[in-house]
Amino acid sequence: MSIKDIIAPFAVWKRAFEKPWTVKKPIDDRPGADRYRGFHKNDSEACIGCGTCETICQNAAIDMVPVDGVDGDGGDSGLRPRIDYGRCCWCALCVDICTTGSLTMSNEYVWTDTDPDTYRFVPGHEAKSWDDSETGYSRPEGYSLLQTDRVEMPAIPVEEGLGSFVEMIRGYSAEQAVKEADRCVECGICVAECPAHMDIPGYIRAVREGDIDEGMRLLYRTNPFPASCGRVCTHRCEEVCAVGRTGDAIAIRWLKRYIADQVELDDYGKALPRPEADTGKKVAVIGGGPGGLTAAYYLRMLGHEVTVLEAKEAAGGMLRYGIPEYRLPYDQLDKDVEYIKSLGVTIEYGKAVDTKTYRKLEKEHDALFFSTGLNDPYRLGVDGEDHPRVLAGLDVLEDVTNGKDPKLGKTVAVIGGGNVAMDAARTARRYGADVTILYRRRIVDMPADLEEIEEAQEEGVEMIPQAIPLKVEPSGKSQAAFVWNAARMEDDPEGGRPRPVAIEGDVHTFVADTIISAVGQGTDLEYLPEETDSGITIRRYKPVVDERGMTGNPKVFAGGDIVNARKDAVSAIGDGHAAALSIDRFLMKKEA
Amino acid sequence: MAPVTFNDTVEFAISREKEAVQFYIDLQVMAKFAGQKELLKEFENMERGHVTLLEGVRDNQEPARLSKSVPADIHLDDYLVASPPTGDMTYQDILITAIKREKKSATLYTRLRDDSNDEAMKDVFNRLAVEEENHRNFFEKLYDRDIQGDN
Repeated sequence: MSIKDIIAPFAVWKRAFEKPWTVKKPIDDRPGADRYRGFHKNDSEACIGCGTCETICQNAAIDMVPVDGVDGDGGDSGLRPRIDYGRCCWCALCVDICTTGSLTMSNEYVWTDTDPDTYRFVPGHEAKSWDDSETGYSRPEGYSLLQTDRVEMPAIPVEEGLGSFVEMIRGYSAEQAVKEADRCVECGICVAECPAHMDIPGYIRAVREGDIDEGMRLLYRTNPFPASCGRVCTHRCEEVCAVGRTGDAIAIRWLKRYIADQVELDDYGKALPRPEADTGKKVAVIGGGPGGLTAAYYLRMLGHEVTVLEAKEAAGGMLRYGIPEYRLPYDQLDKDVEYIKSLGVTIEYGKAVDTKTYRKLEKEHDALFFSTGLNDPYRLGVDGEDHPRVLAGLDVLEDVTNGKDPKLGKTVAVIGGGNVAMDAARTARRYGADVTILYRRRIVDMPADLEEIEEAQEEGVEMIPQAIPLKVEPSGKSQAAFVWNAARMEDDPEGGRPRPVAIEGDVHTFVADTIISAVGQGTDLEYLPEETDSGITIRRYKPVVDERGMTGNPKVFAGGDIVNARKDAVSAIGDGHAAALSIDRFLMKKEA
Repeated sequence: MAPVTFNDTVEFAISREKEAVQFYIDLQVMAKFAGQKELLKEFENMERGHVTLLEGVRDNQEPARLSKSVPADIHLDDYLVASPPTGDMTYQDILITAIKREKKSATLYTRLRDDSNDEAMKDVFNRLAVEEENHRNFFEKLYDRDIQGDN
């Protein structure tokens, strides 16, 4: 044995006096790598509770749960992910799929506790030491499991569209529709936002799976105007779409249209259910617009006999008389209306209701629903507006629907910033006029749908914002001069719409062949008897109804633009459906 | 002749509010249908509330009960034109009429304030003007929301 062999074992002892090369766990922490997939964090303010993380989790480690301080409205389900670390494998799929990017991971990975229940927690709501950690895993920039780009909708070129009233939007092909449907994560956030509460994830799934009949059934469960609504819906659903948080919202409206476009009217009956057996109950509906006809459809489906009284020569209300054909072709509206009629709903045209008729209807029917819309255009309210070249936007649109040339001339001024103003302006462009919209506030404050504003601009409509109307004066032989005052904007201290304030002396004149007034429209409730007689309370020209659509008279219900604040077709459809169910409960003495 | 004492002034204001009550009662007689009548009744009741407020001011000798500040002006009165009341008047017509009436009252009290040499009376007239401006603002906000929602 060499001396080296004898000494070598003792040489190890010198190591005992050197610093340790291992970590004294758990006394000393060893930080995770900067992009380590450690414990979860969730920015609860950014999270919308879409539940996509729950859906993708392969270990069922995530449950969506209600939490204190989070309300479920405005595109937020009110739920937040609760993660079970007894099941989680830290794969980070939940982080990668997160539609808002709110869910991330810290690089913390040590957590000791004697209570196993603590390992099931709601990140962002139960304070943890890693909440403020800036390192850890988050979805890399530019990487997404979601398909963020919308399938482009084919449309005819603007120059071509201006030459006629041909529908601008062409609709998706089957391939395009399936591709677009495939982007949906089926979170259902959109359902709560839809005034008609349509099963949006359901019908999008039907498109994806090519089951058009199922799509039709799902559409008609809550909306009997799919062909129309698929074209002109205000699509609030898309504003809250979870995919839209980091990319383009799903084209929900266009997918609804796609389904309706695939089925000929004659084939509707093959896909859709038939009305229940007759109940012997009779219901009158005043107003053949989307609200009235929706109520009529669902009441008929429940077996009631329904008669609709429509003042005009055709049904559809504002869908027909307020929306030009380049947005909603009449044959598509007719398709919706004709199917409702085919189920046995009777529509009596040219039947304007007065107080006498109203009383008769109430007496002769078991229940009554009225939804007569906002048909009365308000005036500009300024001096000189009785000039013959000042026309109401609604009147112009109705003339066009009736095939009458409104003879607007070469230069047209449209006053207002709502959808009626945009439709009137775009209609005037189709008659060859140079059109300028003058609006009291800024373009960003306009109540019209953003796409309508953009399309009007694309079609060459000029816009003069912050223009306060002062008066109308005659100009030349037949023209009218719109006198306006430039305005500066002031915030409303109470949080309302910003206010235009006239800049002293900054007065301008716009000379036009026609001035179209489109500042707002109101109700005509002349047919309603007084409260003591009818039981209906009217407050500030609005019938007062409860959440069921019921007035103070238990057999009389109301809905649509005359009642709700949103004033769009899909809200009227939602009202009509809700009222039909309430009327059925009333008629059949069902429990709510 | 302009009122010169506190009591005279408040009595004058009360009489003007009572005139307003009567104005809305008269319009209700003229009105043809339920929607008009219910709105006019609401406005009549508002004016009755103003009468009660002013009677409280008079009985308690407390001008401080009146509004102290003028809200941000919407300036609709600057260009809106009222039509003579008829049985067919619309929500818009009724609101413009109400705005104009309140503006007229505010202008009157402002003029009386400016004409007065008595500081205490100036304060009372000013408070009455502010009160009327608040009423006008209420109607203008309704108009901006309900009538010209698209403008």
